[in-house]
Parts: sequence; structure tokens; C-alpha cells
Amino acid sequence: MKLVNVSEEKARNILNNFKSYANDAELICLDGSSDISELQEAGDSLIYCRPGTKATLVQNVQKNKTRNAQVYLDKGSELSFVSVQALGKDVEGNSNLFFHVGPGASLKLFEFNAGGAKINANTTLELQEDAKAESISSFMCSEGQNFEININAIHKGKNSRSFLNTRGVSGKDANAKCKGLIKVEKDAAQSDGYQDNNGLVLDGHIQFLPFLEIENPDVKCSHNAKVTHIDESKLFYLQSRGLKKESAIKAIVEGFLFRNLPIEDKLRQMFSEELGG
Amino acid sequence: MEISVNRELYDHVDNVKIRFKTAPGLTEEVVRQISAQKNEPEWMLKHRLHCFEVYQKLKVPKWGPDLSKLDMDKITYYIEPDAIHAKSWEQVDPEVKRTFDKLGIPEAEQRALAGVGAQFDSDVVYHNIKKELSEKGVIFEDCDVALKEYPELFKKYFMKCVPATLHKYAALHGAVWSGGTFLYVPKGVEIKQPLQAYFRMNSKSMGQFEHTLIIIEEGAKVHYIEGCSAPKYNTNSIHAGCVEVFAKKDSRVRYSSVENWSINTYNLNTKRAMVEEGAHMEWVGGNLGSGVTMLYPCSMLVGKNSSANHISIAFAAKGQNQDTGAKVFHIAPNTSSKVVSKSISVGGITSYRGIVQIGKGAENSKSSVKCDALIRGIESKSNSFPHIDVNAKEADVGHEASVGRINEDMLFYIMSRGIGEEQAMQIIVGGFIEPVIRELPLEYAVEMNKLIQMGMEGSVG
Repeated sequence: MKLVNVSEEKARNILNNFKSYANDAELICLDGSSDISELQEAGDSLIYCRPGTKATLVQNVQKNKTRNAQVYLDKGSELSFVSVQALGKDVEGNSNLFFHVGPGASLKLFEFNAGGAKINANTTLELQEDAKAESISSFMCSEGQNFEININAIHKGKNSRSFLNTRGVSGKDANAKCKGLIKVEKDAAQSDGYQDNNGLVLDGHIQFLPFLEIENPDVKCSHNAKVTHIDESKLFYLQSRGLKKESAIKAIVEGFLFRNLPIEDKLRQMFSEELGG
Repeated sequence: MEISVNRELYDHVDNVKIRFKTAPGLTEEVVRQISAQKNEPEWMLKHRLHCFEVYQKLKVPKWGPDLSKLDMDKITYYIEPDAIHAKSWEQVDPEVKRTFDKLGIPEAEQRALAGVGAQFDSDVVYHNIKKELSEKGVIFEDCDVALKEYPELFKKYFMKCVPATLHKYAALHGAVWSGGTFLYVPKGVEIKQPLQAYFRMNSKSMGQFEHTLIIIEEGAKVHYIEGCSAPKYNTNSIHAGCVEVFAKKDSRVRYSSVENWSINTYNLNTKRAMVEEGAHMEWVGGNLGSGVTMLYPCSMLVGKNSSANHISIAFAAKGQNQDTGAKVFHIAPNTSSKVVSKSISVGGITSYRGIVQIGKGAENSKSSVKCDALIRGIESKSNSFPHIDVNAKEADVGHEASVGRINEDMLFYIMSRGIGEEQAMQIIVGGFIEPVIRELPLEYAVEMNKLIQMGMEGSVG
């Protein structure tokens, strides 16, 4: 195992909290406030955010079929985690992300899946007291691609907040299945959870399974799922402005995927480039 | 916050004399006995045996509520009750009478519900309705009678909508079914008043494997109501009924049911409708009783321009697990569906479990699903397991769900107007369930409202 920038005993201890992990995992310890750092693509990552950390991490997956990361956010830390998957069109990809969001910590997760023939992406968020997690997961599934995207938010501590947003497009012969779960455990009183799913069907297949499991009466949870198609009038409007049908569709799809996305221009551009391919 | 709902108040046993009953447990012999006892044609026996075979092969579902405590070997699968009830009105438990009074059920009806007769009146009413219907060519009969009197019609439709292979309890139903309603409405006939199974069922106690077969021909209209909000005591611990609806071209069918089985019952019911071109199917349902309910009415929109509406409410007090929902399969183009599901959990578990599937050929279909849940009391759980599956061009599907406590602001506002907390809560709950209640006939609506109020009693404090 390679240790990068680890200076605290606690970072080692958190290893015990995690499930079995690959031997060559990269252990990163984040401290203070750092600029955007990029994760190395090969191997698995184990990330520890010390109390008070403010950081942004980018994971860009282009070659590596399996990507695993376990992230531990300690008290009051803030992390933005960006993961862009653009594997080759014939690759079967697999990803497992696990986030432990500690007391008062806050996580923003942006995930974008575009490549691969068959993708299985699993994300689990565990929220402790006063923790906040926001996940925005977008996908562009086209030409015979097969995606299965699962996101679970488990509220363990009281007054925790989760917001899961999944939006994606399914093109010709594509198959996307998105499963989301918000589970509020018995001790997580006064928690709020919200799930928002949006699907755009071009000529493919989309399945949404937004689940709620509430074990505490003192909560507010809701979900919303919508699957639509491209509005003919929008298409007509864009075409009347001189756009070709294909560019018009692309503009609508891009707008659908990245509208209201609270991310920096640099990342937006990155997403856009992926979409272009 | 203590919640105490005394369900025993509702649950009572009728001392009915029994003419014939099978030994507990299910064997091929029992299936043959049932068929022989009912003097059925050969094809029905074959069908029963086939279902029994399927039943043995299928496994208990792994998802949903725990069914491990359901001991299938202890169940008596066929009981033929004696029509003459031995009890008199004076012998009825005063607690039961009080429940009826609280519900505001008229005494004649109370007597019938308590199983002490007074059926003379309702028999007369029933016969009058029957005469009027038969003039129009409507068949409204007991399923056992229909099998004998209209064998061809019966054979053509029986278990064609709900095949035995659908799930284990549908197969069980196919093997041991008895009783139930057969309703046939010929082409273009419109029945104005709701048809209530209640009239018919008084004269013969309802079994727990009853089959309801509803065939509505082209352009006909009907509203059929089953069940009643006064509790039914079930000596057996399982109710595996089956409802099949065939809504032919341009017909309109509304099926309303209020199910309030006693707390020891596992209610594993199957309801399904085939909706043909231009037809409209409506399911209105209330689930109040039973320990475990697994009930997901299903609409198969097989004809173009067909539509379905599902409206339901579930109420779970302590010790109850209400796993209900709706299934809609859009198979033909231009179909639409709407699902409204409400649940209240005060000490129990409520789950919405449903699927909306827009198949490959169902272009231009629309569906909207809305489920709301209220949750109160520390032991309560509320789940939602929707599945949205879209595989067609130009489809629009929307789904919304929310789970939450009673809004404190609303409560505060009402209380600031000088209304006590308990009553304020009843007002909020009343408003919450109103969209469902509105769809029920008046007397059912009143009863449902009162039952839920009674269930909520004592949940403040």
C-alpha cells in the first residue's frame, strides 16, 4: 500500500473502519484547504479528510475498469468529489464509492457516466449527526450501452440531510437502470431526504427505482421521478433558428444534463467535452 | 406518545354451524374433495390440480413483509357454512354493538353484519335489484352458481387474466377457490346504481378464497363495490382472493373495495384488469385491517386509448404491515394512467410498492403517480418502493412521493383557532385522506372516516 501525505495516526485507524481493501490502495490524507487535486487513475483510493478540511477531488476514469474509493469525512470537513467516467465503448466498468460523512461534515458529489459497454456504479453515503450530502449523478447512455447506477443514502445520525439527484439520457438501444435509496434509521430524527430523478428517453430504455425506507416518525422525506421525451416544439424552435436537427438535439440533451448544475466552468467544460464524444 | 388501537373491538366470531369442512393442510386429496363437494365439471378439477402443481413449485416471495409465520399446514381450505345463524341480536357483544353505533350503521345492517339475520329485508332488496338487472341481461351471481349455469362464459374467462403462474398465492387460489361474485354486463348496458356484493353475501358467509369475475362488454358501464368497512372475522389466517376484470372496448368499470380483515389475517389478494381499446378502469381501495396485507391491483392497458385510475388508502396501527401499491402496464399506444396512494402509519408499517411500465409499443403514453404517507408514533415505519420503467418513445411519466410527520405549523394554526389537539389532528388527517374518501359512496366514506378517526384516537399526548 502506498501512503501519500499521511501524518496522523487516525488516518491509519480509519482503515479498520473500512471493509477489506486492496493492498495497493492509495491513501490520501487531506488537510486545510486545498485546490483541485486529481486522483491517480490506477488503483483504489482511500481518502481521509481531517476536521476542518475544504477540498475538491477529481477522479477521471478513462482506462481503469474498476475504480473504488472509500472516503472518510471527519467532523466539519467539506469535500467536493467529482468523478467522470469515459471508458472505451467496449469496456465493462465497475465502480464502488463509499462515503462516511462525519458529524457536521458536508459532501458534494458529482458523478458523470458516459463511456463503457456495461457499467455498474454503486455509491453509498453514510450520514452522521448534522451531516449533509448532495449527490448529482448524470449519465449519457447511448448505442447499446448498459448502465446500472445505484445510490444509497443511509441516515445514521439525527438532523442529517441528503439530496440525491439523478438525471440521464437513454439513446438508441441503450438501457439504464437507476436505483436510489434513502434510508432513515431509527436514531436519525429530524432528518430530511430528497430524491430527484429525471430521465430523457430518445430511443432507449430507462428504469428508475427511487426507494424510501423511514424508521423514524420525525422526518421529512420525498422523492420525485420524471421520464420524458424531447419536446417537438423545443426542437422546432431551435431548428427555426438555423440549427441542424442533430445539433438541436445535442443542445437540448446538454441543457437537460447540466442545467442548474452548481459546478465551476472548468468542470462543466470537461463534462461537455465528454458529451461531445 | 402511546397509541392503542384495540382491534379486538372490531374482530368478532360468528357461531356458524358448519356442514362440511376439509382437514387442515393442503394435499391433492383436499383439492379433489373440494371439487367433488361442489360437484364441479371435469375441466375445473383439472384446472384446480394444475394450480396445485404450480403452487407446489413456486416459492414464497423473498421481498416484502415476512410470511414465515404463516403456517400453510394449519389452514382449513374449505368450509361450507350453514346459512342459518344461531345467534340472536341480544347475544351480540355490547362492544361490537358500540362499534357499529360509532360507525353510524343502521340497526338492520348492524344485525346482518353481526351475523344475526334480519336478512329478510336485504333479500327482498336484492331480489328487486336482481329482477331489474336480469331484464337488461346482466348476470349477477355467486361464482359457484355461475360455473353451473353459464359454463361456457365462465370457462372462457376464468383465470385468464390472473394466470396461476403469476405468483404462489394466485396458484393457491386457483387450487382451492370457492364462492365469490360473477358479474356479466352485456353490450351497451349502463348500470346506474353501484352494485354491492353485500346484498348477495349476506345469505351465505363469504369464504377466504373467493373469486370475483367481472366481464363488462363493449360500451357498458358499471360500479361494483365489494367488502365492507365493518370487520370480518376470519377463523383462518389467510385470505387469498382473486379479482379478474375484463373491461371490453369503450367500457367503464369502477371497482371499489374496503378491506378490513381481523388482525390475525394474512391478506394476500390478487386483483387484475384487462383494459381494452378506449376502456377506462378505476380501482378504489381501502386497506384497514389484517396483520399483513400484500395487495397490488394491476391494470393491463392492452388496447389503445385505454386508461386506468388507481386510488387507495392504507392504515397501519400497531402490529400491522400494509404492503400495498399499484401496477400499471402500458402495452398499447396512447394509454394513460394515474395512481394516487395515501398511507397513514400509527405504530405499524406501511409500504407503497408499485410499478409503472411503458412497453416498447406504447408510444405517447402518460402516467402520473403520487404517493403520500403520514407517519406518527415511535414504532412506525413508512416505506416507498416505486419502479418506473420506460421503454417507449414519446412517453411521459411522473412520480412523486413524500413521507413525513403531521405538519406542526398546520396543527398550530388550527389549534390557535380554539380547537383541541386531537380534533385538529383529525381535521388534518381528514384532509389528507379526502381525495380517496371522495371517490367512495357516501356510506362507505362515512364509515372509513370514522374508522380512521377511531384508529387515531389516543395518538395524541
